[in-house]
Amino acid sequence: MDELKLGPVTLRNRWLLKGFEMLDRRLAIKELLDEEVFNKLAPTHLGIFSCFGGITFFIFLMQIMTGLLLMIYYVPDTNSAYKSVVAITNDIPFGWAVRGLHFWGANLMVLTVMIHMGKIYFGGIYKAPRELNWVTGVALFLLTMGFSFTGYLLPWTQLSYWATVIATEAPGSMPGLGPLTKSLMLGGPDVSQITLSRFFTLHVIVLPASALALLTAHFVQIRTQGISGPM
Amino acid sequence: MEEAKRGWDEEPVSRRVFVGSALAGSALAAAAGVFYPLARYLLPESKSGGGKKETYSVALNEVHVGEARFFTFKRKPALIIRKTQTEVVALSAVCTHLGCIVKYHEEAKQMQCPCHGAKYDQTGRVLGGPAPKPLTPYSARIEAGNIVVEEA
Amino acid sequence: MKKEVEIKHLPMEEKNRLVAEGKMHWFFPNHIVEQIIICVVVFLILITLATLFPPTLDEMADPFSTPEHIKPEWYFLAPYQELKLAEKLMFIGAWAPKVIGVSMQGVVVGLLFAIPFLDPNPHRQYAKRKIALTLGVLGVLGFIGITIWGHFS
Repeated sequence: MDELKLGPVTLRNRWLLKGFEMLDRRLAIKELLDEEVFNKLAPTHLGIFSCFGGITFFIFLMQIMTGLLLMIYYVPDTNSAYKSVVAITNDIPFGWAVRGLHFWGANLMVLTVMIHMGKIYFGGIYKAPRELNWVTGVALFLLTMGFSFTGYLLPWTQLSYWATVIATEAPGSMPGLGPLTKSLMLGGPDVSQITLSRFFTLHVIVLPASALALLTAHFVQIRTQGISGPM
Repeated sequence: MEEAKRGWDEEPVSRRVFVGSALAGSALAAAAGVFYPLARYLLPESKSGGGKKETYSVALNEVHVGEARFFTFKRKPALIIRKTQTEVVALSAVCTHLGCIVKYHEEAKQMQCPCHGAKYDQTGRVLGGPAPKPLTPYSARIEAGNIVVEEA
Repeated sequence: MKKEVEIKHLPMEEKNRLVAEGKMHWFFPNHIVEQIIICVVVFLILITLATLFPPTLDEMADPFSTPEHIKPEWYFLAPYQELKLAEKLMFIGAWAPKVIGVSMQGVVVGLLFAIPFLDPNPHRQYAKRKIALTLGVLGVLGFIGITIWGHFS
């Protein structure tokens, strides 16, 4: 093999070619790359509002990265949580930037999800055959709100503590399953260490795993159902 | 035979090189802008004493002759051994083999490492086992009824 | 428009024709570059916000002292204000405000899920979707309105 054509790119470097051949023999990457990258077409002129799903996904990936970085220093303990967030903000180099990115990413993500939903609604894109992808999307929207709700408690500030107390009070006063739901969320009658541990687990494991699973379903459906065209 | 190509292959070389280096340059700058803060964030601060010499002191009558006392010195375990009435030794308790903390055996008058059996005498010299170096010594003296330990 | 699976298996001449006619463009490099530019812009917006408006940090939580004026984040203002408005239902009975207030939120979420199944209209043109568009605009204005109300109440 003297050269390799990958779409507009032509590889001539001997070592690159050797490496590529080695991988191709075992993984058949030439075909995969041609199909999924180099000979693939993408729609044009979709307009700015069509970008918000992708932008939301990008922010979600950013939240995973900054979230991992915050988790390195954050301590989910009622005595230490606040101190660890103060340390991240004031003492650790660029900690303020990581926390700021996570905070603004969270806020912006809620906004971009809403804009994305508006585009899908007003463009009538939820109609057949995409009904189930709308349902998947609403579930992802609720997960986003779940991220915001659980993440808000983690710095263990006055606001985050009392906001959680008040927010769980209303559903807790529902007849029937209300009190049970509240105890399940808080792990007892009040917001305590158990609540903090629960919210932390939800925020860093349960919700991200659920979101990744639903995102996969969301994207697979886009592939099967196609990008909706102009009206 | 010149084949029609799409993309940037058809640009003249000089311009292609220019655009390429400009792109590579900005990509490098962006990467540095992300990775420098990331590295600073991930590397814990190296708190190196700040010039002030650390000292530790304990009342002489609290450590009996032949006994050892463990304490924290420079954020690591260390020990004082009172060899005789007037003779005291201070050593780091971190085994020089793989960093375990040695134990003091009063009857044998030696330190032994629980991990791989390195043995040291009361002054920290290696008696046996895999230890490559003696235990790090600190300076210890008796002063007004106290044992005072400082960096050697 | 064709489904992605169908476009994928078109012969190359056909793909080149679609690109030449401007109906589609290449995923690589055109689409990728576009996506990278968008991501960089979003990142710059985020880092600018984080630098110029860093998140504040108030006092550490104290379970024995409730601060005055607790307001949720902007995206929870609407349900918060809705629960406050439901307080007016006290005349029905002491149970009413919370039960009706919380149930209403459940109903809204349920409706949101059910939109594709509630809308029997197969058309996508604005002119043929007057009811759906009116309801949508009312929904968005209602959400924004109640959020602002919640902010100032």
